[in-house]
Amino acid sequence: MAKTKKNRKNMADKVRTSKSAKEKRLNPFELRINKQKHDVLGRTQNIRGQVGNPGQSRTKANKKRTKTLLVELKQAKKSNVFKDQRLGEKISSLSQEEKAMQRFALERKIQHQHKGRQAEDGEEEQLTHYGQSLAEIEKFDDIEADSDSDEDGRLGGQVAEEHFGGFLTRKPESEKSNWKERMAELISQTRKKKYERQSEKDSVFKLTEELDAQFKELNHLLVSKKPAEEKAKEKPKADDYDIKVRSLHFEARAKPSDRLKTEEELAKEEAERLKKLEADRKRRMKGELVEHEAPTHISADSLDDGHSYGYTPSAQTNKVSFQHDKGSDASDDEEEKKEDGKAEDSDNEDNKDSAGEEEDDDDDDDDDDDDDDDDDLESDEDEDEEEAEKLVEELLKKKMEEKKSGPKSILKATVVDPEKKKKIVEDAQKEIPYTFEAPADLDSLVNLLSKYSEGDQVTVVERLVACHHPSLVEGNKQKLQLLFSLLLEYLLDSMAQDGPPVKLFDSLTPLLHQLMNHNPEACTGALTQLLLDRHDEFQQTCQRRGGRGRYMGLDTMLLLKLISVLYPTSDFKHPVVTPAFHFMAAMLGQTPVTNERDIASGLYLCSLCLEYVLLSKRYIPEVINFMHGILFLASSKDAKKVERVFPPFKPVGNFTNLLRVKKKVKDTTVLSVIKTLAADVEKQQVDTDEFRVSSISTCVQLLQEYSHLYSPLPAAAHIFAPIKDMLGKLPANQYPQGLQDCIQHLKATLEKDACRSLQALTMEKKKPQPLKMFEPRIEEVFDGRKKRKGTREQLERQRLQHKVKKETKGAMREIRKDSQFLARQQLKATMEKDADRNKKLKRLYADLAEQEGEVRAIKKQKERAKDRASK
Amino acid sequence: MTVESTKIIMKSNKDKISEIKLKTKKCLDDKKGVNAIIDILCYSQEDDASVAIVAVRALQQIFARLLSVGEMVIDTMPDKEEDLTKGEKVSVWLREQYKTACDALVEKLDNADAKLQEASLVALLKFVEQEGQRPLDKPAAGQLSFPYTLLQSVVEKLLSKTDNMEALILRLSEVMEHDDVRFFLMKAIKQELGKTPTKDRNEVFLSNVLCALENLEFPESDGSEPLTKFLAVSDDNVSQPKLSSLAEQKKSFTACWMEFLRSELTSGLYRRVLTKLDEKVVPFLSSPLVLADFLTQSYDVGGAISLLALNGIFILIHRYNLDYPDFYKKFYTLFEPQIFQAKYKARFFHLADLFLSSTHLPSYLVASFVKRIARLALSAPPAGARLCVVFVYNLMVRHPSCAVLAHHPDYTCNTDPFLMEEQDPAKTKAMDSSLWEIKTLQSHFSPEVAQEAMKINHPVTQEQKLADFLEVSTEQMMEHAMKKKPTQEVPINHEKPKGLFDKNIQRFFTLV
Repeated sequence: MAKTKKNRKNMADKVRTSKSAKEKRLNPFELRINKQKHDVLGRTQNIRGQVGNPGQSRTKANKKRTKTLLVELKQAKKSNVFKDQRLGEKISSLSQEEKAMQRFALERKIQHQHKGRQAEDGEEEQLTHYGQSLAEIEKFDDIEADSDSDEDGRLGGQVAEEHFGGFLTRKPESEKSNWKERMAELISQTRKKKYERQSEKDSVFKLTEELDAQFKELNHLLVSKKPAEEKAKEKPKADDYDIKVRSLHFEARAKPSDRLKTEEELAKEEAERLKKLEADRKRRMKGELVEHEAPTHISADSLDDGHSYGYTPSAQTNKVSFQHDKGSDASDDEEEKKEDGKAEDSDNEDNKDSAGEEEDDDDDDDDDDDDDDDDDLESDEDEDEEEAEKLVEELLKKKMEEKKSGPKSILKATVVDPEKKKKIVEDAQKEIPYTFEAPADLDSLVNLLSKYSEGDQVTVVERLVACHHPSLVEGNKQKLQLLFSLLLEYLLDSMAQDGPPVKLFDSLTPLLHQLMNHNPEACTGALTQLLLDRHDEFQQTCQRRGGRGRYMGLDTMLLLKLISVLYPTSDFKHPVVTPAFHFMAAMLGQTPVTNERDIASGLYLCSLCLEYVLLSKRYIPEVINFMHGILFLASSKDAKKVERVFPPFKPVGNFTNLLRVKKKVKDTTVLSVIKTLAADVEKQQVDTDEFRVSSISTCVQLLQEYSHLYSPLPAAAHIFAPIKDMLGKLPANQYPQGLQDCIQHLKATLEKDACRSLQALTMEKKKPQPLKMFEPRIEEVFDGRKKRKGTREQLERQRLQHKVKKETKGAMREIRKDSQFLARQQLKATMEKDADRNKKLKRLYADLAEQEGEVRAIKKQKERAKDRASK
Repeated sequence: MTVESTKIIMKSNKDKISEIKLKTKKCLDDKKGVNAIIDILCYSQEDDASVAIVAVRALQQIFARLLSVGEMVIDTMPDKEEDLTKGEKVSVWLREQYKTACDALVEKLDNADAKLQEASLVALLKFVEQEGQRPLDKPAAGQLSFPYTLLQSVVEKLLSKTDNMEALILRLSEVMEHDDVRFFLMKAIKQELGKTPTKDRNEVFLSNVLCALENLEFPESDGSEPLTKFLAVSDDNVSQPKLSSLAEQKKSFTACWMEFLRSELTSGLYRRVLTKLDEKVVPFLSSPLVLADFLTQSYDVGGAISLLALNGIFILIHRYNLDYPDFYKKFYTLFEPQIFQAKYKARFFHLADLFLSSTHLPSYLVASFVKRIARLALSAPPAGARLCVVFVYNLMVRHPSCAVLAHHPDYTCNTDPFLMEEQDPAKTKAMDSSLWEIKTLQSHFSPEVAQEAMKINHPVTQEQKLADFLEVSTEQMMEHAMKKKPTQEVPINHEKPKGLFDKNIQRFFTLV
């Protein structure tokens, strides 16, 4: 046995240890080291090619060539090929030893198969684990293995049977075939074992319990109370310090609060809430009175045994609901009706201002609502929540009522009163749904919105936006973008109708902004398209009327306003604002003023332009020209003299006196968009002196603003000079006092601005060229490599070019070395051949010389013999 | 005849057309078939245009053939009718028919149907050609064989006072390149103009005349060689020196124009004349200076007409040594705020660039123009403002002495010394001023204008091509700004709005 173990060990370990053969010691003289000229700070890793072993690499390369190039050379011009089928011979990565190992393994395998077939027991198999002979491992594991097998005698046998395919202990052929049976047996055995163990555990537990019980009985005998009392006495009285320390010790620490929810989570919650509410609403719409999940808090003292005492929690808390069963309690009803009325009154007030979505409002909420009017969005969210609470309440009430009426109609306990049901359905229908499908086209949006009142439409859109937040589902972003464009289109379309819902537009603007925030690019595209359409329309009008335009409708006017709300108007160049500027300027500059609406439109655009340029203070000539024209229309004209006016105004014509005031007007008002610009405004409405005076007043006020805005411009005096002249020609005495004062003030301002001294233009001085400095270029963050300038493509190209160059060089070097190698080989072959030939030649010569020598020797002998004979 | 004509009406158009074709063939084949001409003449009087056209073409074919073979020529007209031979009788009869046919075709020229008109004109021109080559009567010695009376009757119809004949006149221009046609045409036009007194010339008539006149084209030669391209007149009987001399023709052309310009032109025609004058008229006049009076008068009219007259005057000054002392003074006054709205804005600025291209102009004059244009830019639409700024830069590059307008260190004045109202560019004190207007335009709302105006901060050394800016309209600038794909993301307002109308605008306008 000992011998065999030793035997077993030697072979495997030899193979294993041979792998980690001794490291070849490097000869320092064989190394070539590239000396570094400068030490570079911060460079940690070694540079490639710093240390090289030329001799080794040359040998390696030569070896490789011998294997490849030389073989090719030898086989050149030969049709027969020598094929090497030896195992692992073609895998270059394998070392000689590895190859040997593989071959050895194969050999053994074949042997083993051979043996297996013959089933001979000549020599025991040698098992290895990770290349180590198992025999060695067995030696240490013996104890454990024994203990295992000792325990139940199962494992050892099983391992032998099951591991390693069971080939160690082979069973007769008959058993081997019945594998299924064996497995079934195994399973049943295991189960049995398990059951046994369980029963044993139970019995142990029982015994322990028993023991415990017995111990308890004895316990009081063992324990005496004395020590505890003594302890209490011994405890010293706490002094101030201790108290302080303890108080500090037990002081409540700052608890970690819940983290703030992210936007997505909030949106998700909001969407979920709305979805839930919607589901509830739908259920109620269908008339199903299902139990609501939210339980009401019922006091432990309440005697809730299904018996009603004639009041409901809501009645107690003085809450009003119109969904009480009318037949149940008359007095109650009346009281509630009163309160209802009150609530509705206050509701009506609210609805004027706020979104007005609630139809069943609570008294409590009214106060809150009033406060909330300022910030719409937040309050809307609050209102949603309140509404949800209310829904819950409603449902509860219903339940109570049902209970109340329960005893009366036991038969109808499950059947809901049809009247009530109908009412609930109606209410549910009246209520606004909480989730919506995103509309796919304008028609569906119009269908959706037209069902609701103006106030409710805002709520609808809000909910639409909330339940399609982009973080909820993929694709919502596109839906919202579509919603934005559809909404805008819808609004603009409705602006062109009679009685335009400008309030709706106003209250939807924050939502449009919100939508815009989700996907600025796409929304901008949609908006630009709408603007472009309108501009095209304007331009077509211009072409049709020979360069004279027309003031666009209210929709365009409000779209231009919306642009100033959504985009920063102070940008030097902006893809939306700049075209809008051009559009406004074109309208002001190309449209002849022929009626009151034109005046109002122009003034509106002027005030819009003021808003656009308020920060950037950009100069818009058309605005000044237009306002000059407005003053011209209002001025008293001298019949003989032709005034100089800027286009599109004309010095003579039918419309030069549009703004002449006929009689004195007391006061001016601020012009209103809807009363002057809407499509349904009648001419009589604006053909009044009030309108004229108001227009002039607006114009003067705007001029005041503009003069202030443009006063830093060097040519401000020239810009406003025509205005100043025209102001003098206004029939000021016909105007209200306030307007007169304004005009005087403006005149004074312009007068003051006109006498500012002007500094002549000078060009910027050329910056002197700085001398070249040889300071080190310092990079703040140096990451160990040079930064190259250029775009990504350029850098990539440079990198590739460099690589190509490097590779080309390398390839050329290789080719050169190859040819050198071949030449060397050929030379070697020739030399060998020559040497061979020389050797043969020498031998031949030697032979010949020998022969010759022999011949001569014979000759000499003969001659000598002759001589002798002759002598 | 009446019976026959009723029969004709009864027939369908198709039958008629086939009948005409049949009869035409008969006529052409056989001498005896000429009687069919009467039928065809009848057909040509049909109301139905399609039949009439076919008939007219048939007549053209038949008479062209008859003319080319000299069927209607009678060598010597006998005194008495009885002395005529049989053949001569036929010829006389044919002549009568030919005359009727010509009259009928001339009548057709003002027919409502454009195709019929055209067919008639083509037929008549064919007759003119054939008759000129083989005249019916032998012309007297030294006389030309050109059928002038026929042409004259055509011209008379074409220069109608009631109908716009421009399409037909354009058709006529196909044969106008022939020297003889041109000559006689001018003669006829002149005669026609002479016949109509100035007050009778209405707009339609004048536009017809103008159309005819502006389509007259002359061969490009220096006039040393005689003209030889004739349509009707055969080469051998060119005896008239007038016909073959370019100078004579030009004289005739000038006379036509002079006569035409004497009439009272409406503003539309006036503009048309002025736009065509420089290219289509001036080169062919015997002495272009005769236009000087007309042009100076137009120049004084003001507005767009002045603008258009400018070019003509400049050509006269430039090439024909017209002395016009106040040219630049008047030109200066043409710069008005209205020019940016005018149709001829691009043309005007192109000409202005041309007029001010000389580097020998006095610097005070250029400075005045520079200041005036800059001042106009202050109230101009964006495209105009940019054009003005570029124009100003170009002038400053050409006239370095004006650089003081853009660079004048340590110089302050209380108000701008430049006098905008002054009409004389010599007295505007522009040289004492500075280009504050351009500086102001640096804060123009349009980024293109502002960027252009920014260039004044540095010396401008190169002229820019004005043509790149001439035709750009404000709409194009806007579309350019709109359709350009934004390179980076669109900036939007980060502040959450509370509504559409905020406090700023509510001071001037409320929503409700």
